[in-house]
Amino acid sequence: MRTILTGIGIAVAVGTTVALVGVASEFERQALDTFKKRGEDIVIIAADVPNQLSSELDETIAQKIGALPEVALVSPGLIDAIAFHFHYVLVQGWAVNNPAFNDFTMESGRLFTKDDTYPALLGATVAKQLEKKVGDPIRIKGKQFTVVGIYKSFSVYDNDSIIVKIEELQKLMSREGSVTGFSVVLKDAADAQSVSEKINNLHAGIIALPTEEYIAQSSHIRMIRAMAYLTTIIALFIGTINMANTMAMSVVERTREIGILRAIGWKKWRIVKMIVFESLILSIVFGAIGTACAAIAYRFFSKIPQVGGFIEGTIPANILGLGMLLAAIVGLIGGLFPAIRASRLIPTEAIYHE
Amino acid sequence: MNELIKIENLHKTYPDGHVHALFGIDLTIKQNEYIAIMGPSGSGKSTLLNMIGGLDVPTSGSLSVHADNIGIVFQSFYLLPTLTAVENVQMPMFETSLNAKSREEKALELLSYVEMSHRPHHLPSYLSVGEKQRVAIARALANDPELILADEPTGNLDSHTAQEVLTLFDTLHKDNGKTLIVITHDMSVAKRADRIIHMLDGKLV
Repeated sequence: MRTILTGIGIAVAVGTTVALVGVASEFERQALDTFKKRGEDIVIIAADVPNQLSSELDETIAQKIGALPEVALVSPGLIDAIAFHFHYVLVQGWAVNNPAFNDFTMESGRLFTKDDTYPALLGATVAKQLEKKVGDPIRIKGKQFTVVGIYKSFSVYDNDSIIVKIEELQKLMSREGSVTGFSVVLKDAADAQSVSEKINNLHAGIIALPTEEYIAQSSHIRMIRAMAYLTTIIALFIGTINMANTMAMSVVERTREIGILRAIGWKKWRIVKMIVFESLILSIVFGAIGTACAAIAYRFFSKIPQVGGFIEGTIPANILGLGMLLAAIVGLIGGLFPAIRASRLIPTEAIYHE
Repeated sequence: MNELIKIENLHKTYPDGHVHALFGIDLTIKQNEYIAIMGPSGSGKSTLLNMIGGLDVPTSGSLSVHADNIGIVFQSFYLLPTLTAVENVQMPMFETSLNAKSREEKALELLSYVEMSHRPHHLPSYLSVGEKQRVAIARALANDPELILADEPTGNLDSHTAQEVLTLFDTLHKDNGKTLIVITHDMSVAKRADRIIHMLDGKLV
């Protein structure tokens, strides 16, 4: 019973870690995918802000950046997060001719045109959550918009967004003439680092980063990653203590057996190997169960609307491998100290142990 | 004959400091000797045997044993209860390079040698005390030891079974050239040895 309880503890610790690290990794991958699939090589936001939501830049900067010979396209973006029935939705302001519209598949309705007044495009996930269809009104920051289309994108972030005209969102946010950031498409993606440095020298108060760096430094991604790593450390600690306790109890109960093995010629090192091996088997078996449960739970949660479509597919193999590695570390460290203690027992004392 | 064991001024005091089990033991045992150690309870016989077998460490003095392998037979057998007879015999062989098949073959041979080939796959709880001691002797022989230590090996056996075990010891000594050190309270057992050593209050007398 004690062994099963310890195993369940390890399975929960490993499973939680795998699930959290999997979610963090999926967030990062989705964000990077969104930029990469659109060919966006550089992201520009205001310096000294944690993320694009807090950024504010003069939209005329786009002209200076667009004048650089390496730059193919500069797209301004305005983003805000708005609560609908306690659910936060990204509202993005896009220009009518934004080339990213080409990536959308319309589920119903159409894209907005320059002649529309206060039109709104809803991502498929948001439309489902808010139960909206084409022609329905939707209030954004106190202003009534009309849903003109519902789209599906390869990007889970876009599917969880509402897209309105950039100039109308600027008015609503009282930020006429300003945007939260720019994305830049280069003629040659290999120039991302050098062009980023050029843009940084072009205008004070902005920071241009290649997309990989932008994602890696994003406060949201860093926070999720930090939570995942913190959970990993706590899981490792609890799992190891749990395993060490179980194996120490096992050594006490098997003191006589260990004494007999030493008396019949087993060397100390073989005793250590025997106990560590048992500990490893226990933690790897239950670690595998925890990892499998995490993979199943992840798949289940990726399909429910409450998650907002922010996780998709399956946990990557390297994260599953991390779970097994974590289980092995727990087994190794948790088993090692009781094993060393067992190997130091004096055979005569161990044999006569009651 | 070559010297197998040399003990000089060996002392053993247990950690509480009050029990002084061995007082300055000096002893030399040659290869292929059959030694019986006699003495009353608490005289230090088992402590001395444990020191020779490497099961305990002396407090002071010197002890050298020139044997690569030592086989030990206990009065209470100390078989592992969850393993069958043949598995118990295989346990010391894990320290050798034998593979699983060779280990099992050798264990079965040894069980046959101690006349236990009829019950190799029985757990100790299903064996008689005599059978248990035979399995324990087979286990002690597993790594072909030069030296066999036996702590009252017939103490729990009936007289008939005891005779069988002692005959087996005689064979091991005479036919196989093993050095035997046997602790006993029984003079009839001790008389089979080449030399009898008496102990009293942790000293040789």
